[in-house]
Amino acid sequence: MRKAEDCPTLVRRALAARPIRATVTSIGVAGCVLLVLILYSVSHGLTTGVRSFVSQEGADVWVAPRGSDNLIRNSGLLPVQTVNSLESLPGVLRADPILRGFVTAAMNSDPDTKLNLLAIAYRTPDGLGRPPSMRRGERPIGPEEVAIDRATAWRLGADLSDTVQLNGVPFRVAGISDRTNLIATQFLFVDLAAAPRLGVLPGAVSFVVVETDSGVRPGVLAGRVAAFDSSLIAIPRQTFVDNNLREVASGFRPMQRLLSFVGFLISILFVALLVHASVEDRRREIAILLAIGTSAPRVALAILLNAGALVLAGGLTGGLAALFLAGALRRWIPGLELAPRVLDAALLIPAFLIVGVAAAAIPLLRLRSVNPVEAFRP
Amino acid sequence: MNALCFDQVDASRGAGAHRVRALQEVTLQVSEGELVVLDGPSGSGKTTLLALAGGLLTPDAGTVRLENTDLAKLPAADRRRLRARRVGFVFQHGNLLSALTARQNVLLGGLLAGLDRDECRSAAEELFDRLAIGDLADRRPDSLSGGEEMRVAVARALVHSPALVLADEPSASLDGDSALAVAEALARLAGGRGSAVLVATHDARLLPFASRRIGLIDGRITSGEPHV
Repeated sequence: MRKAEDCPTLVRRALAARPIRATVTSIGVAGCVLLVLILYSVSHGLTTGVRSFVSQEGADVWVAPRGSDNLIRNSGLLPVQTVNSLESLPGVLRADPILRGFVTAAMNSDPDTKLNLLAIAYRTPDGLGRPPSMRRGERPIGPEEVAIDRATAWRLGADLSDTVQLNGVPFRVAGISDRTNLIATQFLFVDLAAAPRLGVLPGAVSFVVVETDSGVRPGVLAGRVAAFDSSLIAIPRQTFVDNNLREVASGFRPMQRLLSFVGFLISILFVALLVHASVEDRRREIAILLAIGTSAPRVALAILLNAGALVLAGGLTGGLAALFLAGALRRWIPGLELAPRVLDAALLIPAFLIVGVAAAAIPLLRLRSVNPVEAFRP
Repeated sequence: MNALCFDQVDASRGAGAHRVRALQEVTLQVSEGELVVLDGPSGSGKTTLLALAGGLLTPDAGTVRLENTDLAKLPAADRRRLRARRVGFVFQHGNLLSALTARQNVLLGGLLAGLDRDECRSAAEELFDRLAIGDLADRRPDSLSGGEEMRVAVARALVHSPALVLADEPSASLDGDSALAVAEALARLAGGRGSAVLVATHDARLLPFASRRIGLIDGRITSGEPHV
């Protein structure tokens, strides 16, 4: 006898769902898992863009006018002299200015395609506020060059050494950056000296990014900055990261939660319908099993295990499809910044499994209506 | 020793306005090794009697004893266990589990009765040989003829050597040879193992294999003569 031919296995096999129904259920669950995982990938892609820029090496403390606490939604400005003042504070190794503002980008070859980009003007090439990583080319050097995100390059059809118009002013694309995509917009990097050409207020900066001396805690330096000038607020790196993540996620998270909920709901319906149909389809088999001595709990467990196996198969299929699809989309459609994580799949699939098995409980009550005497019916 | 004993059993089926008295004051005994034919027209109460004998139903009045155990006094779980171990069922048209092979159907009967896997395997192999269905073991019920399916059902009912075999119209829709083969298998194999066999049928072809015939009409026993 093969090892698999034990009693629980045979009962489970006897009560397996009809193949077409089982396939439809698995595909349905796979689709829901795929949807939810893609949403999570988008969410991570979004936060990755912010996190990688804001938490770049050396950006220990972000100094802004009081009232500003994030990069995404900020209209406060500081006089450029603040940079020198902060550099003189004890514990400050380096202080670099950043001027942020939205610019309109277009190519001469396609002036109708315009993108609004979040321009970061910084001290090129390696000042704080630089592109966190370059996919191709170099960081910009001097006021004639620019680095654009890979999604921007894809949407504009721009490549290295091409000329891109920013607010109607030509710049040469020196590099294409990575992990700088906020989905709705992208970061764009120019030299601080180019800011006047873009029509941004000269003599002002949005933030001063401070690198601390080794051994100086960012929180301590933040206190010194506040004591030095009460119109400034100094925000340690992690707090600043959290503030920016809050801003980018605030519009996306409710939709993500809603669609995830819908995904779970559809899975619940699929599994509940499957179990309901399994009890009805297999009514004769259930009656026979009960008549020849199978316990009702064993029958129920067999149906639950069958449903669980289908949810698991669907979950794994959906998980693998999501990882593959996210990777493929990221490669073929750079405008979609997807960051799939195996951890999400590892957490979501068991969640779907638990929810799916729980969903089976109510239709399983139909088992009570099966009378083993029905086994005598031909 | 009596394997099965009915004593003044009343039973009803259905509920509410559809409730009908299916059996009235039924008294009968079936001894070890005996094959008894329960003969009666459709609706006479044969299936209800089998269901009571197998502990699938409990009587409204009277007692049903399986090997001297009053089934109605057992908790439902104990009744189920007793049924799995001491009763074998041959349902009309076999009623095998369609998703399992013939062998798996038979093995399941033995495993549910508490046989270990080796015992189960050897008992199944022996029955497959004696019923000449060894070459059907890996086939599913939908690929078996009616007679083949019934022989597999007989193997499932006998694999755990039960005290009582309950067969419901085992020859229904079978041709002459197949009906005789099934009846012969029940009489020879069950009797040879000391099992009592109660066969509900109105097929006269089975009578030569019976040690007794009991007539049942409208839920009452009308005759109980030894068959010659």
